[in-house]
Amino acid sequence: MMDIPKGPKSTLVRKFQEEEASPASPHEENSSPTNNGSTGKLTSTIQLARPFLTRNQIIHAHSKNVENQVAFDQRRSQVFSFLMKASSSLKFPARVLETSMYYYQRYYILNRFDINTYLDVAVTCLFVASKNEDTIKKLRDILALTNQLRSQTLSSEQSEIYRKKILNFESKLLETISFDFRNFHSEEFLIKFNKVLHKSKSDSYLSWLILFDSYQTEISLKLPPHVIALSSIILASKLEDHRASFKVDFKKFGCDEKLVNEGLLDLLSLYINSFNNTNLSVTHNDYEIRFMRIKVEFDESKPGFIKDIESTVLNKDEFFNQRDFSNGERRYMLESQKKRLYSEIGK
Amino acid sequence: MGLSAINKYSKAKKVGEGTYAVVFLGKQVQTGRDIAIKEIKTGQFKDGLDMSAIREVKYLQELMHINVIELVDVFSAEGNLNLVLEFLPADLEMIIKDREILFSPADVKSWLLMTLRGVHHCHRNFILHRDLKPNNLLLAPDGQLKIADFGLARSLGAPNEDLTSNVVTRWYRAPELLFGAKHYTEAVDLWAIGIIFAELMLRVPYLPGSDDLNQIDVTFQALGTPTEDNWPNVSSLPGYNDLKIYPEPSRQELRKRFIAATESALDLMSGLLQLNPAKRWDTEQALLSNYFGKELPVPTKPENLPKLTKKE
Repeated sequence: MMDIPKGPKSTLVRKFQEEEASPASPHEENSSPTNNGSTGKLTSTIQLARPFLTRNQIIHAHSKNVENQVAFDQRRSQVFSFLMKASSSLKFPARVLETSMYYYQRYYILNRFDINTYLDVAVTCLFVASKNEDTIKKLRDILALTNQLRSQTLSSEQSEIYRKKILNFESKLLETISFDFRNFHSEEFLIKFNKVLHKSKSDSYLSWLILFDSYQTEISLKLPPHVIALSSIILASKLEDHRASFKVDFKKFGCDEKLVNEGLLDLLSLYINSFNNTNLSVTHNDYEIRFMRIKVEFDESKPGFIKDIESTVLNKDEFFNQRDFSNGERRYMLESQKKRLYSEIGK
Repeated sequence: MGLSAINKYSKAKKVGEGTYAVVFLGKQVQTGRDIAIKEIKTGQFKDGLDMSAIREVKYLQELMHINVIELVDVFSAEGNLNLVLEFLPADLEMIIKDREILFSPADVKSWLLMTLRGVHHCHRNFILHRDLKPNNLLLAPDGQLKIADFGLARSLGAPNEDLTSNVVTRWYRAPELLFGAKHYTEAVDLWAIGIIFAELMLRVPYLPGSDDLNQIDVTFQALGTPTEDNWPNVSSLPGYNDLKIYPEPSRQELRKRFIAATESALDLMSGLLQLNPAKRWDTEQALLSNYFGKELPVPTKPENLPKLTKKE
């Protein structure tokens, strides 16, 4: 379903930013018989899907929702290893795990991080991911296993309350992702790109390991799948052969060089800052020192990056405001329907 | 009832209730356009939002084709998910069952052409419908046929992915599904179209099996039992056992069963009803076949197609 975006992504992101602030703002209507809110007003919002965010947008969102970034990051790695265990015990394919990791990160772009419920959110993410990847399992079975992993014993009455709690999180998550069920998996691109580039089997495998590690970072919130795939391939080649170039025929792969550089930067920081937490460290333990050298060389090549959004614009962007999903109504559109939205607003 | 500040919709009356949704008729206030609102029930279900709702949103949001139902808007309000769809007052099953309507060969050709065009659009976007039947082929007031109900749709799986064979309404189920194949392709949709084509000519369901076992018997009695000769490796499929071996029908037998069908109509139908999915025609082959290309009559214009005589 996913097409490779034709134009450079950077302008796309900025354009969203500038144009979207107004349509995303709430429109208020006169009281309606269906609304019992104390204000007597029905809030109606239109939300364009924003599948990708910039670095500053993520920082901005976290500044609103996360009190302690260090604690948040720690919990995130804890959650990811919890999801890995749960997903493999439930025999879900890797893409369910990946989607659940993506949803978990996506959730805290718009919702407050709460130390008491983050594991419940993780369970919800796994549940919704299993639906979206066509490998649904009964919620009851998922809960039985995840409760066991968390050493959480519930009476049948408590289980029922807990199940309802998870379903509440489900509707919150669905609203958070704007009912946008397009999947973003990089593996298929990775395999095809490696083939086109005539990479050896071992180089391709290395890039696959890097790609899997990338889900631990915020890359999937920022970059489209084919860009992540290409960044992983470039880094893998560089690890195996220091003469390899940071540049490839980006156009051929529908990628913007600046976005690929963003991907490389994030991957390098992951391996430099927390090599021991990566899967690559298990199989390629001796590679740790290579990343520092590559980083130096990468910086020396004076890579170009996308121009990020200024904080003055960010502060005005109502997308990042606290949402109340319990009240009013929200209309969801994909960004491809933007033209139609603006033509409606123009009236 | 206001549904949005920009696009307002009115809900006029409830027209149907399914297991997971209630359907209302209404209007887009600004334009007066008729629409249908599918209100997805959430909450009371054990497993939250139904998969079929996810599938409908996922695929219809991105598909845009004259022969595929249009998803106009997606709303969330009061804990419910509302899908605003274009209003389609009739379906092909109602037309087939309406005994007062006579079909001309040109009418059948027109409906089949629109079905194939819609399905072709799904397939070129790697989407399998997996529940094609006359009941899911809806008819717009202007005669256009629209493929609806994407609750079982999915994107074409990766080669190593297992798919469930428990799809497609029984009478329209392809042999590979009857045998419980875990890997299948767009060909399952083309089989269903072949059965629908037969049903349009016969005016009764072509292979109405009474249960899953009987369906196997009915299917192969009419079209022959697949063997290793015409379908290599078919015997390795899980459901391939204890089969009665029926011969494939001769051309003459098919002519007798479908009296009104022309030779190129029979060619097309036989192409769509190839037992071996690898040999079954795809949408492109079907659309470029002589039946649509060279042979008269030309398909009836959608606006001139027969309409329901009875109004509910």
